[in-house]
Amino acid sequence: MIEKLQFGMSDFVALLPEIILCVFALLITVYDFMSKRTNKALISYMSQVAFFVTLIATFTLIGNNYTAYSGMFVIDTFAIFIKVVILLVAMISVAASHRFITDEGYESGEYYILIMFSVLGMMIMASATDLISVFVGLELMAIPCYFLTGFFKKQNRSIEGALKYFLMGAFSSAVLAYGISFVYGVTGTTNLHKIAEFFATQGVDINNPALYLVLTLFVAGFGFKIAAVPFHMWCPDVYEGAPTPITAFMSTAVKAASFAAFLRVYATALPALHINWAPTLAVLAALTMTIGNIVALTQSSFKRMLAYSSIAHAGYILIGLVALKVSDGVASVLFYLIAYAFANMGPFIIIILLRTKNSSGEMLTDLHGLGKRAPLLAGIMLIFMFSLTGLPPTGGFPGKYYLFYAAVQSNYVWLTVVACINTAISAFYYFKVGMYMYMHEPRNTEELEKPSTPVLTALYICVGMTLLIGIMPHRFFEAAKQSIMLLTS
Amino acid sequence: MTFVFYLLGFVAIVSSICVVSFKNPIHSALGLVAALFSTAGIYILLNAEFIAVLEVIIYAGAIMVLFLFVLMCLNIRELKMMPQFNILRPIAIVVGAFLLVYIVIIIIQSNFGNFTGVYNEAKIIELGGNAKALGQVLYSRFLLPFEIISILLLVAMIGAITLMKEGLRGK
Amino acid sequence: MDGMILKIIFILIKILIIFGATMFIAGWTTWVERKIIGHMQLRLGVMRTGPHGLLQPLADGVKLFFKESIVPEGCDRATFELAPILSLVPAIMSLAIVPFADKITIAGRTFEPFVANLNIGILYIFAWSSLSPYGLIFAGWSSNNKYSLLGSLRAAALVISYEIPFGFSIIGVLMMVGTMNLIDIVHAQPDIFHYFIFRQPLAALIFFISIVAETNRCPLDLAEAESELVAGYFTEFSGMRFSFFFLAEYISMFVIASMFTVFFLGGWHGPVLPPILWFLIKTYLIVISYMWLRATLPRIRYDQMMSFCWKVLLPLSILNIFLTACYIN
Repeated sequence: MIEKLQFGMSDFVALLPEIILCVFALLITVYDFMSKRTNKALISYMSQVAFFVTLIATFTLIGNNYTAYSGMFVIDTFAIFIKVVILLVAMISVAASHRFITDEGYESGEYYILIMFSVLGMMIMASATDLISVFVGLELMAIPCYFLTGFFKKQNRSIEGALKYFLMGAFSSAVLAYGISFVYGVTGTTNLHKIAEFFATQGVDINNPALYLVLTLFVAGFGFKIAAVPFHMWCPDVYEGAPTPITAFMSTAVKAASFAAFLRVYATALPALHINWAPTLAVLAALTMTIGNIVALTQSSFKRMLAYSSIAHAGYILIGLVALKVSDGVASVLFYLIAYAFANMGPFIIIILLRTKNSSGEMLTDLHGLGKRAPLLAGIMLIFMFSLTGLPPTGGFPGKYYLFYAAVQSNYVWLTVVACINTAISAFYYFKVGMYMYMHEPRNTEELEKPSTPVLTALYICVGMTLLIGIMPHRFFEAAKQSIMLLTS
Repeated sequence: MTFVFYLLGFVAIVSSICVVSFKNPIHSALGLVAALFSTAGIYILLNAEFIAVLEVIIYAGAIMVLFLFVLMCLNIRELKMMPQFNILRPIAIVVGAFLLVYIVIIIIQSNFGNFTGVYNEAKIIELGGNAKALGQVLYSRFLLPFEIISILLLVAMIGAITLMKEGLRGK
Repeated sequence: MDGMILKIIFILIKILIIFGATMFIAGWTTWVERKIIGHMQLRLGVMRTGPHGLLQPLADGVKLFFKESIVPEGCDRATFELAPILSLVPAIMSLAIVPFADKITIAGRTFEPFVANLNIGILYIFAWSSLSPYGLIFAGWSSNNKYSLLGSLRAAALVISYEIPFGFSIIGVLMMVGTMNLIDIVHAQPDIFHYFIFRQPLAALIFFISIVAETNRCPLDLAEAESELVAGYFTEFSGMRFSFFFLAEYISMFVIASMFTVFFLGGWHGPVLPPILWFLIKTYLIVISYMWLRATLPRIRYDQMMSFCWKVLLPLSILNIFLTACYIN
C-alpha cells in the first residue's frame, strides 16, 4: 500500500479563501518588486481588495462542514466565524495604516505583504484539526509579526520589541512542539479527532504523568501567544515598540487566532482531560486579569496601558475556556473575541490620529483636554473605554455577562468574583482616560492633522460595531452559538 | 546498539553544554557542530539515515557556516557577560534545574503507547528506502503543512530582506 | 560468525586498497599538475628528481614530513590543531562510496569494487562536502592573521553561494533516474547517448562550475588567492599540517571529479577497456580540465563570484529543474 495523493475538488474548495489570499499576496509581492517607490500606496488598496475577496470566499463556504487534506484541515462554522473576525480586523488595521508608515518614512510594500501572510497563517490556525497544521499555521502567523514589530528599524524600541518577541516566540514554539511530541508518544497520533477517540476508547490514565506534562507544555505554548500571566513578559515591550496599527492587529487578530487554536485543541482533542486542566486554567485566568489590571493602573503611556489591558482581557477570555463544558462556554468566548476586537482596535486608531509633529500621541498626557481639542474623537474614545470596562450600551457588557454567566454555571463562582473585582479595578484606569480628556486642560495645543478617509472609516466601523454588538447582542450570540455546535460534538 | 546510543547522547549533551558555557563564540559554534553530528548519529541508529544526512547538510553544513561567517565578520574573540544577565543567572539555573528534574522524572514514570505505524522496516525496504517513503508521505498525508512551510520560508526571506534593505526616504 | 569476521576483514582490506591508491593518485596528481601547467606555459616543469621529475612528489612528502610545523604566536591552539584534520576527514570519508566499477562475480563470489553502496549516496557526498569548509574556516580564524581571516571569510561566503546551485543542479538528474543510489545512476547511462551530460547539459555545466568552487581551484580559489592573500587560510601552516590541506585538496578533487563521472559521464561504462580503467580515465579527464582552467583563466573577484552564484547559477539551476519536470511529464 502506497499512500496516494488524494486531492479532490472538496480539498480545493475548503482551502479556497486561503488560496485566494495567498495568490494575491504573491502577486502583490511581485508587483512590489517591480513597481516604483512612489507607487507603494497602491499596495495598501490592493491588499484591501485581497482581504475583501477572501472575505467573500469565506462567506460562500458557510454551511459546509467537512475535513480535507487527510484530516489536517476542517471547514466548519467555527472556523468561518474566526476567519471573518480576523479578516475584518486585518482590513481595519490596513486602513488604519494609511499614510502612517509613509509618514514615518518607511516606504515599502512589504508591510502589507507581511500582514497578508500573517493573516493566512491565522486562517490556517482557525481551521487546523491536526497538531501539525496548528503548529505550522502558528509559525506562519508569528514570523511576519516578528518582522512587523521591528518594522521601524531606525527606532530602538521597535527593534528591541522585535528581538524580545522573536526570542520568546521561538522559545514558546519549541515548548509547544515538545508538548506535541508527547501527545504523539501517548496517543500515537496528532489528529485532534483521533486523540479524542483515543481517550474515549482507551480511557484516561490518570496515573500517566506524561499527560500532565503535555498539559503544562500546551498551556505554556499557547499561553505565550495569548499573553497569559506568567507568559506575558514580552507583551508590553512588544506592543509599545511595534508600529501602532500592528499593535492593534496583534492585540486582536493574533489573540483571536491563538484562542481559536487553543479552543479547538482543548475542546476537540482534550475534553476528556477537562477535569485536569480546568483548575489550572482558572488560576491562570485569575492571575492574568489581576496582574494585567493592577499593572495597567500605574502606566503613564497610553499604549502601554492598553497592552496591559489586553493582557487582562486575555484573562477574561480564559474564563470561557474553563467553562468549556457548559453549553454556552465556547460561544461566550467567540462573542467576547468579536466585541473585544472592535473595542480594542479603536483606541489604537485614535492614538494614530493623535500624532502631531512633536508628540507620538501615545502618552496619557497627550489625551489631556481632548474633549476640547477634538470633541468627536473624545466621545468615540469614551465609547471604547465603556466597552473595555464592560458597561452598557456597548459590546463589552454582554460579552462579560455571557462569560461570567458561563463561569457561574460551571461552578467557578470564585473565578466570577475575581473577574468582577477586576472589572472594578479596570474601570479605574479606563475612566482615568475619560477624566484626562474632559477635566484637564490640553497640554499640547497643536492642531491635529485632518484624518484621512480610510483611517476615519476604520474608526467609524469600530465604534459602530461596538455599539451594534452592545445594542443587539442576541443576534451575535446566536451566530456564535451556531458556529460552535459542531466543535464539541 | 544501546551503548552507541548512550555514547552519542553523552556527546550531544556534553557538546551542548559546551555551546552555552564557552566564552568564545567560535568554540561554541564548534560545540554545536559536534552536537548536531551526534544527533545525526542517533537518527542513523533509528534507521532514519535520510533525516540524519539532511541534518548534517542543512544544519552543520549550511546554517552553521552562515553563523561562522557572521561571527567572523564581527570578529568577537570573547563575549562579555552583560551585568543584567548575571543577576538573573542563579535564578535561571535553579529554575532550569528544577524543570529538568521535573521533566526527567515525568518521562521515566510515564508509559507511552506502544504503537507500530504503517512504515516498519520491511515496508520501507519495499518502498525503496527512507527518502522515497518520506517523499510519499510528505506529498500525500502532509501535503498541506508541507505547502504552508514553503510559504513560511518565503515569508521569512521577505521579512529578512525588509529588515536589511534601505527603505528610508530622505533619512 | 566466521562469515561476519571475514566480511569485516574483507571490507578493511578494500578500505586500505582504496585509501592507498587514492593517496598515491593524489600525490602524483601534483606532479601531473606541475607538468601540465609547465607545458602549457612553455616551460618544462619539474625535471630534476627522477626521470622527468617523476619522483618529485616523494621528495616533497619527505621534505614536508621533516619540516618544522610552526605554531604562530597568539593563535587559537585547539582550533589550529583541529583545522587540518577537519579538512582532511571529509575528503577521505566521501571516498567510501565512489563506485569504481560494477559488482563483479568471480567464481561464484560477488566482489564489490567500492566500500559502501548507500541508498542515499548523493546526499552522503553532499553531507561530507558541506562539512569541508569547516577546515578552511577554522584554519583561517585560528591563525590570528589578517590574511588568513580574510581567506576564511571568503571561504564561508563562497560556500553559502555555490552550495545551493551545486545541490540543485543534481536534482534534474535525480528526477530522471528516480533514485539517489550512485550505482543505479550509472546503470541509467549504459551508452554514450544516455550520458547525462547530453540529456542534462545545463545541469552538467552548473555542476562543473560548482565543483571548481567546491574544490577551491583556480579561477574560484578565492580563499587562497596567493596573489592577494599570501596563501589565504593556510598562510600560517607549515610542515605536516600544511600537507594535510594539500592532500585534502587533491583527494577531494579526485572524489568530486569522480562524482561528475558518475552523474554525467556514465561512470564505468565504455567499450573494450575494463570498467575500472574507464572510470579512472573519465575522472582524470575532469581533473586535467581543472588544471587547464587554472592555466588559462584569471581569478574572479569574490563579490563577482557571489553575485554570479546567486543571480545566474541559482536561477539557471531552478530553471533546469522546471524544464526537467516538463520533459518528464
